[in-house]
Amino acid sequence: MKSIIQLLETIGGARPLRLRSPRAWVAFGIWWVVLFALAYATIGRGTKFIYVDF
Amino acid sequence: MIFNEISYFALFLLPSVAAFHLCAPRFRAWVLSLFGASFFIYFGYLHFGGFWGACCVLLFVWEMLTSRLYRPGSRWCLFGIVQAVAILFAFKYLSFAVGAWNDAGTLLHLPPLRGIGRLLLPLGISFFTFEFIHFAADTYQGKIQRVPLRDYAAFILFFPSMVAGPIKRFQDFGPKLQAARFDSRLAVQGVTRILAGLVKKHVLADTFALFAANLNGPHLDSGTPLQIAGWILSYGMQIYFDFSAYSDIAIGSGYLFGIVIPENFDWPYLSRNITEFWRRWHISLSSWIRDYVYIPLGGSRLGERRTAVNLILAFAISGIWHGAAYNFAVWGLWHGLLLVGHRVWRTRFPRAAAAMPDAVAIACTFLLVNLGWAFFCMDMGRALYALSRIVRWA
Amino acid sequence: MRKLIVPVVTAVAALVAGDRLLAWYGHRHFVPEQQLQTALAAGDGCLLILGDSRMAAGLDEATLHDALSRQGADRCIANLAIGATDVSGAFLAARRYLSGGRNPAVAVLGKVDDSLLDPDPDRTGPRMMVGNNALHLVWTTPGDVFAEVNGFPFASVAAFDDGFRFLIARATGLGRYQSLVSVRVQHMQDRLTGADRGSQNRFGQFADMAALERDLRERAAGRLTAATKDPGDRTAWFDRLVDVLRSRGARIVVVELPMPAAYRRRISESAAAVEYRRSFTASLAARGAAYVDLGRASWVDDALFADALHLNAAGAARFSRDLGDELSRAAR
Repeated sequence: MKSIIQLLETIGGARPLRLRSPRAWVAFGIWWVVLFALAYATIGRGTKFIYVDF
Repeated sequence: MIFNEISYFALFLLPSVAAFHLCAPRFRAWVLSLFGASFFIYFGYLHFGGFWGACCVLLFVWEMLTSRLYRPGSRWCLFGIVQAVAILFAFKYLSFAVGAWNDAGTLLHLPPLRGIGRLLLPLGISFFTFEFIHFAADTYQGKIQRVPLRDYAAFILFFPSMVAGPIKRFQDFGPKLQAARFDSRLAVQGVTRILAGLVKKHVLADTFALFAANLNGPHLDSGTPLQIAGWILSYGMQIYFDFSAYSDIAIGSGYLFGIVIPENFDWPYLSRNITEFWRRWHISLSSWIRDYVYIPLGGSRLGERRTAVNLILAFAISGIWHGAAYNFAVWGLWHGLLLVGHRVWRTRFPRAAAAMPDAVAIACTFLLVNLGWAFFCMDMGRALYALSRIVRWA
Repeated sequence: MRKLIVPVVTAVAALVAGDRLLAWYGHRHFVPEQQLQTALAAGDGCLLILGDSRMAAGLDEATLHDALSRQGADRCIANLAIGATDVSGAFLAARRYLSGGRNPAVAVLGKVDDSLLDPDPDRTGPRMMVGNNALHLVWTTPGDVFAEVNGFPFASVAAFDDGFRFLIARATGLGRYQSLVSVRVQHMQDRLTGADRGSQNRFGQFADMAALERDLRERAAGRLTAATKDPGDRTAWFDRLVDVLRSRGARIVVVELPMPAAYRRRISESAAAVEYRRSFTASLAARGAAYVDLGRASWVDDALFADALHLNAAGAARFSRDLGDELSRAAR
């Protein structure tokens, strides 16, 4: 449980990162895009679409 | 919600971070103050009262001027505390107080007062008045010595925490402001924290909100007891993810400046008891209530009975701080009673308290806290109805 | 510092790629864009149809062709009646069509009472540019910010904020097509939660149509009264539409669309509506445009409506036949 909490805190930005290789830093950049995409996809959920034409 | 608007990032956060790190250290506090005042005017105008809401930035100016008079032991500090309470009361509680007087008046034959509509609610008033009170009180007690105006201005106008906390302490913020410098590791953490906060808000909180919305919808009475209980639990998750998301974005924004704002949530639903819950939930508020309400009332130094009264009173005030309505007071009282109950439990039954398995303790605490959320999210009538349906299981 | 640069560069590169992908996908799945491509493919010298979903519902192309052919006035039909849009959307659609190199012979603009007046302020701004109204982001240029946002940049903080957000949103695929992603997520969410979406037709849920009709009705009375007091006010978008069509030599015909009896009684037959129609037709005549009133045709009956706003197939056939006859008459 403690390790899960620590992992969530790390990927959530509440704990400092200890990434060493450039690949790890690239992966973290991808993680940012994943977070952004999740927020982006759900940010308009409350919007009422009267004409659902998509 | 200000933190999900492009204007927050494009017009305020990113330009202010750039200006903060590019300018000479002696101007940094003024950069923060300028952006903070602009932030307040901009979003105050848009979301909190239009032109007059934006004009409330003068409250900060007035506070900055008043703070120049504060000295250890000075009556001006007491004036500052009363002034901040009066500002909070006038904007947030006056209408409720008149209504409560009139409600009491029908029972106690008091002369009725003319009802007044609520004044506009300035952006972040519940938070910045508490920071005003903290500064005045700690200066009075000698915990804060003479502070440059620019540092105090930066403290009260620090915009990431202006909207929804955390409630800062000057003794923590001031030195960090002085020592702030760009730290790439902290910046990476900050960006991650902000993005994680947005996900918490839009993916998690808004999903739970879909279910919790039934509590205030037209179909509450057609829900089964299990559904009603589920909706209340959903609200508990919604409010956690929503509020902690604001704190994440505020803290992450602070990291970009190189300023580490203290944490506000520490996995509160994993608490083993209610006392621990309040050390993990809205930490900045509970510590403020402890330092500026509970301890001045006597804390736990005046016997068990007085301690119980102080706890209940402190949490009633905490409840009212959240909203000017009876149900918030009841929510606060509920937590006050739980805290008193926990004190009795661990002092009278220490072995049983220690022997309780963690999983059971966590589950019990979780359920007790969530019962209280019924009063937080619904008015008294609906809350009592919902809880009675669950208790009767009918 | 390298620790910050690597993830930032990675994230920016991925976001740019995602933006291009969404712009490519959105372009193909954005219904107004699909309608535009079909309209452009119809050819040159067409009958350009403009308006909202009420016009779209009333259009039976086969019947319209028949009616025009009978009078020897048949021509291609470019249907740009886009659901949920107002007169500002009609202008953008017309301008976009014309920029595609097409010159319509006749532009037929569907109207119901006050619908050609400028939209109310709470119906404008970036928050409303979702769904089909994302055409305000897709079919605009940066310079359109002054028309899209009243008072931009410095009339008020709200005007500045709206204009700023408009400029940011329209600049990227992520901004332009955000609502396309949102609606897909909402559909997924509805399927997962088993949400009952209610009965619906091709325009949407019946409950939504009823709510929309109520909203239109509640606003119309005030808007028509204001328009009769100051006829030249709140016609900025309509004026732009007329100008852009006239610049290409198109004849303009405004057609009054039928509505159900309850709406007609309360709004279309009110004193303000009658007075507004009188002044509107006079101003049209002064600009060399024609007005065809099919709103009070003898055949209009509630049985010919699919919901609170739109004609059904039988209603569309009647309407299109009469429209074809009127257009042929006007062509002679």
